[in-house]
Amino acid sequence: MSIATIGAFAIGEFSEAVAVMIFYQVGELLQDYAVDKSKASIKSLLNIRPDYANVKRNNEIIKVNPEEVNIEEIIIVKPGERIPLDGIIIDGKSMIDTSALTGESVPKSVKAQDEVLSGCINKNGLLEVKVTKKFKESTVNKMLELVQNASDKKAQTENFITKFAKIYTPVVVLIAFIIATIPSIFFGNFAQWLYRALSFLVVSCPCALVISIPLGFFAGIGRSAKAGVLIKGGNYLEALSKINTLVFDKTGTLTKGVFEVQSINPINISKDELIKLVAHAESYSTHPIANSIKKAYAKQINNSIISNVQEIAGLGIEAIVEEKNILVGNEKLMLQKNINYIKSKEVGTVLYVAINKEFAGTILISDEIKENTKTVLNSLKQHYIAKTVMLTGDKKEIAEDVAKKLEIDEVYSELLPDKKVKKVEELLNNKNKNKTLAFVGDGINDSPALAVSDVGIAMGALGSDAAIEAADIVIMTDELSKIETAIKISKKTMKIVKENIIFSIVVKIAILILTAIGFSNMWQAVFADVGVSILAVLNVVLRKEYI
Amino acid sequence: MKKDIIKILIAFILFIISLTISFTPSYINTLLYIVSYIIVRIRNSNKSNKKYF
Repeated sequence: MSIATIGAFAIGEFSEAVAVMIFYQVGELLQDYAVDKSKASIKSLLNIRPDYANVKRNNEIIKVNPEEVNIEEIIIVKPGERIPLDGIIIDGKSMIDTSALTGESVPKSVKAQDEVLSGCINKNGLLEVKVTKKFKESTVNKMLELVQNASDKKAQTENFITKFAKIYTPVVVLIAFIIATIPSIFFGNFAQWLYRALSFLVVSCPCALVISIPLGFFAGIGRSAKAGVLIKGGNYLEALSKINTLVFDKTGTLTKGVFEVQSINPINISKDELIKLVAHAESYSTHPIANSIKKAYAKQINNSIISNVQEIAGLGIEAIVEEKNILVGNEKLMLQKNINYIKSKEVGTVLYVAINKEFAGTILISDEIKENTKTVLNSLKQHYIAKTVMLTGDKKEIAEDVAKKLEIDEVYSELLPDKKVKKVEELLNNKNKNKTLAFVGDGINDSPALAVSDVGIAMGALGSDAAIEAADIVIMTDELSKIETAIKISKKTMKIVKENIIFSIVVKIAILILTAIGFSNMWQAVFADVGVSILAVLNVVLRKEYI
Repeated sequence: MKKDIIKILIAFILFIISLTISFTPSYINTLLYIVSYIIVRIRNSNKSNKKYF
């Protein structure tokens, strides 16, 4: 631009030189405004950094910087205040607004012993919270760091534009030089060819591409953060738009990850009596299965009626409850103790119970499929995904039962974490090279698989540091439907980005040709240049709310 | 942003004056163009853009 305008001055075209510069600067001003606005919208979204914490020290409540609060200290959160640090409520109950972290607009009810995360707003009650993490490790700080660093990771398209601009600039300067010199040797009239060359330089500026492409990715990342999906960079947004294989972990992703008693099948005893005896026998165990039994019993355990509790490794438990001998465990336990039992045909973890060496029935414990999972998977398959795969460490029959219920295309069971990684690598090798594969996990046990896949998506990651570190995309809640939201945003973002690339390049080439052959003057050239930039920026700014 | 708008406005006014009024001697018009150009040229927004991305 500078060469062109100074050149115009040199050939006495003062008005054109100034007009070019003024209109160019007006275009730049508008672009700055768009970038500022986009940045401001992300900043407002992340305006969740707490300014202070009311900490209780020596029976006094003092206002301090959240960074100065230590673990185990007690903080007071008044109604209307933002929770400054992660912790556990020790007193009080309230409704908290988690929308800044999750995108969920419905307030959540919390009470003593519940975990609260920094960044949420306390709506009504007074809360006394015991701090569990330093500010640096807190959820709010992790989120801020993550989104702020997102623009550092450029998408393939952004990198292409940067490379393109590097080659493009010297090439157009060379062409302008050729236009100014070669034709004038043959046809004379150097001033006219110089003017054309200078107009050519004006129109060649690639600002529309350089500004509008990053702006598009910026808008997409901001929009998804608003929906509770944190995307760590434009590259992942682009990869997500090309997705055609979704690989899921089972426990905690497709299922709730919480074992619950599904059915009680008593023989010659009432259901209540059976669950009571089993809950008492299991009362000393902290195993998830024992916990689910105690949860199903839902009454106080009377320790005085329990004696001689023995854990039989890998088999189950033997105990005396109300002076009855209780055996609870798997089939092997029944075989070992010579109990005449009836084999259960149910799918899941089956507990066999014997009272005084007589078979008394079974209790089925299994994980529950999350609500809406099937609907979301069907919608994903209908619109975006060609293949769904489930990987699990669980038993074959349980895995197949879940896969059948959810209509998952491929299922691989009894996989240890390293085998899961190998399976993901195998799927990556066999997929279409132009498409991507995403692994969806709960982010803690699945870190290696999240890392090797094209796009690692961590579900329900709120408060889980491991998940935030390992994944490329972090879904703050455990709603599978957010995957569909993220894919939709990525596709719309890429559509806008591609529109801008095609529009800018096509118009630019057309004007360059017209200018080189003398069909447009410098004024028209500058209008074309500024016009394309403004239209490309407007294409992002006006449509970003609809992404 | 405000400063930039003011600079562009001043440059634009000078440009319009120079474009519409023919001063004598004529180098005043040239001078006005040059001043207008310098005012608007100072605004180097490329640097600020680079900062964003």
